[in-house]
Amino acid sequence: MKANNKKIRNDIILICILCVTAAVACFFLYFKADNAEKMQLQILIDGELIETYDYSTDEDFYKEIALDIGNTIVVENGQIYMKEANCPDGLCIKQGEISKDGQSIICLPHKLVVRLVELSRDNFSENDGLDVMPR
Amino acid sequence: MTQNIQNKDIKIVGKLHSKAQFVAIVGVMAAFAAILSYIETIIPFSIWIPGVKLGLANIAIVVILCLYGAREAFAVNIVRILVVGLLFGNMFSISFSLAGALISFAVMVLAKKTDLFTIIGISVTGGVAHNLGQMIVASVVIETYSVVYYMPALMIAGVITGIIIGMVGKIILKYMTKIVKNKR
Ligand SMILES: [Zn+2]
Repeated sequence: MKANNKKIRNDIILICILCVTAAVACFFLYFKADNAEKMQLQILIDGELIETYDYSTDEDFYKEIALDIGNTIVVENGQIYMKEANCPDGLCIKQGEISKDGQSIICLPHKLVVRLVELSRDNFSENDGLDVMPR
Repeated sequence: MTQNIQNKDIKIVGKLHSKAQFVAIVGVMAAFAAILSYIETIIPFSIWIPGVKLGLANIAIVVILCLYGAREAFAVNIVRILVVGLLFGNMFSISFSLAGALISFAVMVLAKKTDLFTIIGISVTGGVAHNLGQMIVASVVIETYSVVYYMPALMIAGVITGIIIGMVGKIILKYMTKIVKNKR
């Protein structure tokens, strides 16, 4: 009984450590100064930057970006989402809308990343390790 | 008290004596795991971050890992991935889920070896390792670190699914231990 209680206690400690780690990671990843004035919509295939667009939060702004690989990205009311895709899993469509710095939509089968990047941050992102891997 | 008795039983049962017994147990558990994987493909699950899965099949894996050992659980895992991949997937999904399954399995075997956790703790380490492993594989595949932004969500999802799967596994383990014990 005692040994078992100890194991249950260890389980709880483990779960707490994992949750705290996630919370700390959350803090570092998301709670950056939210002064995103100019954001850029970047499209990467196979880790390479293919296209960039200025991101607009205007209510009437509508843009459809159709890519050769079979994905269609839509920018609408400041929200970006994957409208159509012919990938086998379709998970990129289900990932929903993004509108904040650092957020991304990923289509794994097509090795496609659609992401929003704050321009000031992007200037030094070449070597901050969070963006494109060195090739 | 009951847990102590259970642990003793598990130790007695711990080794599969004949090849036939090994094949039978692995076959039954792999079939169980394959059914769970199939159920998972038909339930809509709302977090569609690449890599996040309920990991229902892990119920079978974690039970056999606790009831027998790493060798048996490994066999079940491999058979399950191949069967499910061939029946319901493609080469891409096979290799992708193989990566997550193997990483999660290795971590669970280590967690079991430390003898520090119950089946729930073991299953939690497996769930988190699976999701983080898939994330790492995804970032290599698409050659981008953008996936890192999903890390907190992936960890929390792994903890939650790990707890649920561990609890279900605990119940199944209890009954399986009884069945194996009565047979002897
Ligand atoms: Zn896709």
